[in-house]
Amino acid sequence: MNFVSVEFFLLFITVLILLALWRNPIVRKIIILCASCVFYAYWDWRFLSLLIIVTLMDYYISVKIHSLNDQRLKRNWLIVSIVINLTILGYFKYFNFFIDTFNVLLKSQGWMLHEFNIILPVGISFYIFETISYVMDVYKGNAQPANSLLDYAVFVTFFPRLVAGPIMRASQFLPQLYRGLQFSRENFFIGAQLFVQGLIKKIVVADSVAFLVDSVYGNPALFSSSTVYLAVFSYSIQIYFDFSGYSDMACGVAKILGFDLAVNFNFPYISQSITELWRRWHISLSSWLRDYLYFSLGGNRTGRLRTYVNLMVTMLLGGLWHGASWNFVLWGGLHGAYLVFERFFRNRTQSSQPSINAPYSWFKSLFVFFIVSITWIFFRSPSFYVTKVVFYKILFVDPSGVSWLYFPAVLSSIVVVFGGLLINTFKISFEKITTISPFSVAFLFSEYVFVLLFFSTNISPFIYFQF
Amino acid sequence: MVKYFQKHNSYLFFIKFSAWLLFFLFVLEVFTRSFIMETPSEHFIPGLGNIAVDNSVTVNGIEGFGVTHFLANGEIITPYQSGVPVVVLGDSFTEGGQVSDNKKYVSVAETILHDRGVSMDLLNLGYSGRSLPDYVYIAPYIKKTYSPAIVVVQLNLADFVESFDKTKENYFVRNEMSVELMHNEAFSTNQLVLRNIVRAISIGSLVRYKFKSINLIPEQQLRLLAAGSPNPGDSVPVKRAFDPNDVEKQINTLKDAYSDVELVILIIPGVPIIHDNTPLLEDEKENSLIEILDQIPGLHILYPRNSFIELYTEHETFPRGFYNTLPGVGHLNSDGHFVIGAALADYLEGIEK
Repeated sequence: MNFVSVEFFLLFITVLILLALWRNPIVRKIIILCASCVFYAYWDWRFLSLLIIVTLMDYYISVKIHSLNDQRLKRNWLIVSIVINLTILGYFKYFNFFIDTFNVLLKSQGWMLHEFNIILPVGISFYIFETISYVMDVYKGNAQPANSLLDYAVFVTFFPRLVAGPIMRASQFLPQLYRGLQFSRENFFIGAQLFVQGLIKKIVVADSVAFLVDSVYGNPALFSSSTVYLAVFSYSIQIYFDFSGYSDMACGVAKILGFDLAVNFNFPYISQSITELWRRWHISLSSWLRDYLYFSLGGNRTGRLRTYVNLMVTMLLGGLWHGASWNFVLWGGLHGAYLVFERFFRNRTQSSQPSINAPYSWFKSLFVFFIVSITWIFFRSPSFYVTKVVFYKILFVDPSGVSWLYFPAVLSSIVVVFGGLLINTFKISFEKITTISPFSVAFLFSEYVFVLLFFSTNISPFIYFQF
Repeated sequence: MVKYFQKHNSYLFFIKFSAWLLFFLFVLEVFTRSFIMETPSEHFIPGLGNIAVDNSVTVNGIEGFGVTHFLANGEIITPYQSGVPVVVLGDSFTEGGQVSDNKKYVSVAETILHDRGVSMDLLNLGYSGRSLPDYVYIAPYIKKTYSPAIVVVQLNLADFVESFDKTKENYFVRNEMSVELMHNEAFSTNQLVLRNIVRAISIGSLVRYKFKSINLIPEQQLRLLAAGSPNPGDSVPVKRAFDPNDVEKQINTLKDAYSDVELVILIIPGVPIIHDNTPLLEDEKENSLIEILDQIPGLHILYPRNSFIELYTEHETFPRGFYNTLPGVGHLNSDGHFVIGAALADYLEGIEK
């Protein structure tokens, strides 16, 4: 189920009414759990069973780990959990990718394996990572097991973040659940603001820009170099507004229910380095990769060379997490290389502080935006052929073609890039209005009218739903 | 007492809220009206049908950007008002709401003719939504009001398909050997007041337009996307039922309606066009339409297809599409209007000579 749909609106209204009618905490949790199941099953009810299996398995394994005293046995149960989780993820997400790769490598030998017709369950990458982190936290003693299976099931399936995050830790979510749902006018008002902010990002900006991006990446050979450049920059805008819009909507819905979800984005395009970018972009994933993968590999405490290797491995796997394609691996590998490069020179210069000199910091931010946008080409291209043609265009090997300076994309690029630079320079912060006044309520209402007026008619699914 | 004040305060809150809301909506209305969409009120003229009221204005910022000024009888303002009257009838392509008045092809043709010393007063009577049966219906009114020497009727492939749509104000009914014009009298006046109310508020019109043109990606495609299928933006081509047997009958009915004037049929080429991210330079249905039209005796046909193709192949520019829509799709842009205008000027000059 999509947040931008009548079905979701009806579901959410029903949930709010039921929660208002029943004040018993257990009944309320059951209502949320049922709503989450409906939310997920609306896409494909068969995969609800997968979600149930993962939830049951990890809950009981975590209880078992917590009850054991023998460290070796604890470790064995942890390995069992991780292996099963990764096997499920691997089968649904990467099985055909491995067969494809195998076929390419052994084609010359006359070997050929048939692909399976496997549908990728929506949100699998997100909830598998959440359950893995939960079991690891219990194993390390960073978190207590959930009080009950019901609590844990609500944690894993909580519908605002079920299909595309933010990826939450049990230690962040469960205390809020134990505290109980906190309905208040302030929460409702802030949640509604977050939701409309996400709506504007997604269906006014991201979907408008997607029109150019989809057309150009559909046949880049048709367009001129300037148009392809615009599409390349526009994809940076699109993916940011699409995903942060979704995250805002998820946070808004959760806030109305009285929950605070993890912040996922913090103006990533004002970053002055790739290292800073990853502290601002998809924060819940990057911090997960840091805490559960990079640190598990040894982090930066095992020597300089090993640190570089750890960074590369983390980013390659981070790339692969996004999708079963060599394009994603390449994208992750490039980011890994940038991080290694930056760390290498940071070690040399011993300077990690962002510059506060405006022209120099603007130049650095623009340069990082340029590098990130170029790297997104691998992420967005449906094939290596398209990647090649796009690079031919932007390197002016073949600059000819139809020029299309699509106005919404030009406007969005200018506003986002220069708006970000101004925000960074003048340290502007955006706080939600918490005071309910005639002005603020009317303004919020007008924002919804604005969405109705200026939404893009080419509504596309959230990009991160496919991961 | 407390209850009274609480009630009083909530009233005050509501009044202030309404005032602020009206203010915000007013700002949105002004912005929308100035840059996105303003549609004119219509009035009913017997013999001409529903048409924009005199001295009204249309603003179109959804596809390109254009401001269109209407005079009496829905006539669109052109640079010159003297010379031999030439009436140009057509739909939204002739109305050209996507470009400014002096860039519409009728204005372009009139300017070229006057520059060449050919004194013709081209009267732009293009109006969005009009089709072939409408031109037959308004023929007596046009001849009586303007006494034109030449009538140019702009058509495209869709006209020959939509003529039989019974939900329209005017439509054709097939007979054995011809087509018969039917006029839906009730349609003309019944919805006029309601339509004018909707048109009066631009933000209402824009919301209505948006929901009508929404292009939802179906759930099925979402699943394909999840399964790794690329390009969610691909659209499914709509199959249109074009029947070549109807063309001659409809054209003969049009010829009969304008029997005492010189009739020029201007076909707006459908190619080059972008379909599924690929430029198409041939349209078999359109080719067959032109073949049929060429065989009808005593008919002036203007079909500037080659100029359109040349625009794309030599200048890498499409005659359709704007900075805010996909190139190669939709209405004519200023390049397309210029090509058509130049071709029309050449043709009219030839007739005049």
